[in-house]
Amino acid sequence: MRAERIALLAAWSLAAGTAHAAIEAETQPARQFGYTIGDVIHQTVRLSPGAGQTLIEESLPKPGRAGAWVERRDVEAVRAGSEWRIELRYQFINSPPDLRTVALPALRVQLRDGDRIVDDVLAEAPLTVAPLTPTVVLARAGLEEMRPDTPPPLIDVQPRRQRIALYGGIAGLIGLLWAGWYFGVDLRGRRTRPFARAERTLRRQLAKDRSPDAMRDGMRTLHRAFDATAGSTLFAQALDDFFDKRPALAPAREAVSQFFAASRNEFFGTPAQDGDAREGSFEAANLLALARRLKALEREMA
Amino acid sequence: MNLNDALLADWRDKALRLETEVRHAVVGQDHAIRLINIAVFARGHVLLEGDVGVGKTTLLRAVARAIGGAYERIEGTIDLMPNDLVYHTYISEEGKPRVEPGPLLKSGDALSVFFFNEINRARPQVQSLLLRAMAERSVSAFNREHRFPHMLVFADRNRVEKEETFELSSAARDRFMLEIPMDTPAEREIQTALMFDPAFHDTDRLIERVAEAVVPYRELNDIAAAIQASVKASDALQHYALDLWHATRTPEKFGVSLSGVDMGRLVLSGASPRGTAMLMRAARVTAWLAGRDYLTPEDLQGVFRQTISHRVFFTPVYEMRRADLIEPLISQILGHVAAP
Repeated sequence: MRAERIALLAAWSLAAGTAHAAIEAETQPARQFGYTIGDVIHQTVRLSPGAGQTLIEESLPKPGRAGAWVERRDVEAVRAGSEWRIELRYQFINSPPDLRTVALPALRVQLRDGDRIVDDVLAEAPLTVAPLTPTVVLARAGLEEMRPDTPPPLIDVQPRRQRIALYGGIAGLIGLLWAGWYFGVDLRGRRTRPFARAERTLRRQLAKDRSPDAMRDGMRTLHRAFDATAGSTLFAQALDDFFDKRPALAPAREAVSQFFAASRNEFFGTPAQDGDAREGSFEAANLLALARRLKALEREMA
Repeated sequence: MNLNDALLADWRDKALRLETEVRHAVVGQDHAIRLINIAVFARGHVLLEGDVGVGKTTLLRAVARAIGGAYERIEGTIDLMPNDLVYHTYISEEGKPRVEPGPLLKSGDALSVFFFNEINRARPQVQSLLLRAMAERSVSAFNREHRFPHMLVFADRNRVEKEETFELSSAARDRFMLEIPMDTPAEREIQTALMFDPAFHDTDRLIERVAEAVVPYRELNDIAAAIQASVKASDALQHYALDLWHATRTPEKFGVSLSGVDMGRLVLSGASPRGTAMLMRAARVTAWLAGRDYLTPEDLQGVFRQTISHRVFFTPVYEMRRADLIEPLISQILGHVAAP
């Protein structure tokens, strides 16, 4: 019984030895008509090699032109158990002048069977291909040889407009601030009104402390205001020139001269003797009053 | 008022008298006269600079005459050698070679004014000899050291010509306490007098108008020391003076800026310590002449330009433009350093 079966199998395999392995294909789309230039067709080939047969992968076709009508775009062979699935993608690259039957090329693969090499062929698959337009076009609206250009599509610019407005506003603001800084627009009167600033500082300095040291600091503060007003350091010898250039401050001339004389005594003179009332000595009240007066005159000057 | 104060007040009158006497011969140069007077009482050497014929030599001769003491002068020429200042050789009437002391040694320690005319025409060798004479008031010659403790060097140079002249080295310029620019008087009456009054055309007669030796020159050194000791500098003033000094070294830190100049690269070296010492000496004499015993910023400002401007050296790029830059720089420094 057993021997019988072995003999039968051997006979079958002998018969099958020359027989081709099973090969079948299906295409996607499944139809065989209605194609035109540019269409792409997937062909899935299932190959079941016979017993003892193996696919020689090098025998698979390479991507490239396959005849006048189609180009093989890519070839991929996947093994699933004993079966092979070969994925092929074709694209029509030519347009016939009229309806015509063409074919997807045949697929020829080689299988190794022991020492032999056998071929297996998938027959070519006929398809009909049609032109896109008739050879002669009757010029009617929309069917001219050249269609007019399509108008450019309109894009919604509203968000962009809003963004430009926002950024522009920020840039303008920065520009204004910079210009203000550059051209000396002085929001707090810092540069244009040094005496006003000095008066503020003096009030603060002398509010808590009226010691000789504090007085010296106060005098320095007022000196700096004079320097800032004059544009360079101002000393007693240049006072005449200073007032000639700024007649608005002239009413304070005498008090300012006294201040400069007092400052010279204070900072550069010989130390005062005890109980020796120094000529032209300056009290804190005098200093504040002078600063207030200069502040008022300065406002008129502006 | 103690004895010293009385002595100084007395000397102050003498100093003012010196100015009055010089003004008999030189008109329209009151500022230059005051500066020279300051140098005399600060015992500093003076370099006068100005155009040809503005009266540099006349002014220096008049001051030398008023100071008294021995007065020697020499003309700077391109072939002048250091030896020419020290000795001179000749064949005597007996036909023997003779060596006599030159102008620098001739008067010994009585030398009060050594007047070097056109100093920039003398070679650097001569200027080098003068460096020691000016700094130490002594030279070595004939195997011994000669001292002239009362000597002041007055030098002048004209700024018109540059041919056949030798620029004074920075070391030589640093020896001069004051570099005083002299200009033609601007007042119309003085210009008229200079043109039409024949008295101004004969220099020798003009100089004779100046009374001789109104100050005892041998006492000048002591008086100068007394002046320096008597005039005080308060803390605020010392602070101001230091700021001025630093401003010559790093002007950009004091907000000084000149158009078209990279301030960080302008100054190669600022005023030297010797320069600032001379600034303070001159400022103290200014205060003393004004009758004060304390310094004010104005005293420093009055001599700052003349003591410091020839002691500030620029980087090579800007040194070429020195004449254009130094004046604005000094003005800006004075305008930016604040006191008190």
